[in-house]
Amino acid sequence: MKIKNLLNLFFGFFLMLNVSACNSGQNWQGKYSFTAEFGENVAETPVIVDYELTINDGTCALSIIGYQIADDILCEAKTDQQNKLNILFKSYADGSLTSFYPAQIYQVGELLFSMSREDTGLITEWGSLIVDNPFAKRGRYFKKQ
Amino acid sequence: MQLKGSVGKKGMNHGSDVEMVQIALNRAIRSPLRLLSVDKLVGGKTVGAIEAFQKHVLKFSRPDGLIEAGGKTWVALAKYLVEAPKARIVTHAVFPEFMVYKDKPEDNKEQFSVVAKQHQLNIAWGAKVSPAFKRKVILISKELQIAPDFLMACMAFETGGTFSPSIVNKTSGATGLIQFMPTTAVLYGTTTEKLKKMTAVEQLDYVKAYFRRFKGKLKSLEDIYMAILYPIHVGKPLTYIAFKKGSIEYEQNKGLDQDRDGQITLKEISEIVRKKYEKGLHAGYLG
Repeated sequence: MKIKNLLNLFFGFFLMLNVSACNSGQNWQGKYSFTAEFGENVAETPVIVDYELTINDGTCALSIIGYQIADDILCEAKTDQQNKLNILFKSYADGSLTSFYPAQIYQVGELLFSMSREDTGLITEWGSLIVDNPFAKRGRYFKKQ
Repeated sequence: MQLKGSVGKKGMNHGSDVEMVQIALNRAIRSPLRLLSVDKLVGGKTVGAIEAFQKHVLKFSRPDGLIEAGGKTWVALAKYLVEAPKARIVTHAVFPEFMVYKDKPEDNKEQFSVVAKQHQLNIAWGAKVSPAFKRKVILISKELQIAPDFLMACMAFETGGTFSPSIVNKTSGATGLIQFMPTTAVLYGTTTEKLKKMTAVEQLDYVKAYFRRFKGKLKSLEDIYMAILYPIHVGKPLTYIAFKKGSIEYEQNKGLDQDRDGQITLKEISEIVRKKYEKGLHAGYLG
């Protein structure tokens, strides 16, 4: 009986570890990037923005650099039961919720975008991150580096 | 336009005076490749530009690199603040790159001086905008610590010289005076639809809001342009390589790679804006 209890305890602990690893996005570790081309502005300057998502042990960072933007966002990477990775807003890299913007744009925990591994490849589904949206809501955008 | 004291080599170099001299000298420099940073600091480049002005425009046989308040150099140079340039410096051979005569960082704390004389000041492209727009640009420039000529040149470039708040690229949705992207507009608390309906003067509030994060960092024309195009490159030297062959950015901008070396420097990116700046100083544009 004691052995069975110990085994149950061990098994339960093992399961907990797994869930935690899943929630921290461990099986998604790595760098993912996407270069968005939005066309041109009136001066015929190409409007390009680079997105780079880095997921490491316990950290999730999103860098957005390009036309009119140079933002570093700290995020939370959470996987759901279908192994979809949700990237949620945590704060800007300086720890603030507004950075230098006049008001808060993203709420803590707000879904910026999500990624899922499907037969066709890595699929991104946009949340509230991109407003300039010449793209489909779902598609092959981020690629693992 | 009065100076409080002398500017240049061994001058008193009040920050507000230096700033006015740097703006005037930039208008007197023919090649825009060597525009001075408007930073209120007298270094080798500013002194060199004063000497070049004295030598090539005023025909001084022994330029001393010093502008006395009310002196001959200032009388001639001050005209550049209100008139289109008639004579300009054509050589930069006398611009020493690294010599620093006197830096007075404490002068940075002074107020931007040009605004106090705004009713006298003419700015690049000022003849193409309303007096209210011009006044507001000067005020914003004061607050952001940037040269109004540079800001005007960038807005002229971004709007194709129209300064229209509603000019839009239909593909990207980029709108108005600094071609706000829809995301940018949202980040600053508005939308491109709302921006489009504003007057040019009203939209300047959002231009100011956009540039506020760079306050004190935008010393050159290139800095201001980069703040719009690629903020990560603000403060970098002209030789900085922004895009390399193989990147999407390079492919999309490869027409800017004049020497075809597979690299696009800030100097190459900014050349077209410098041409707008030059154009804005011509008669019919300066105002």
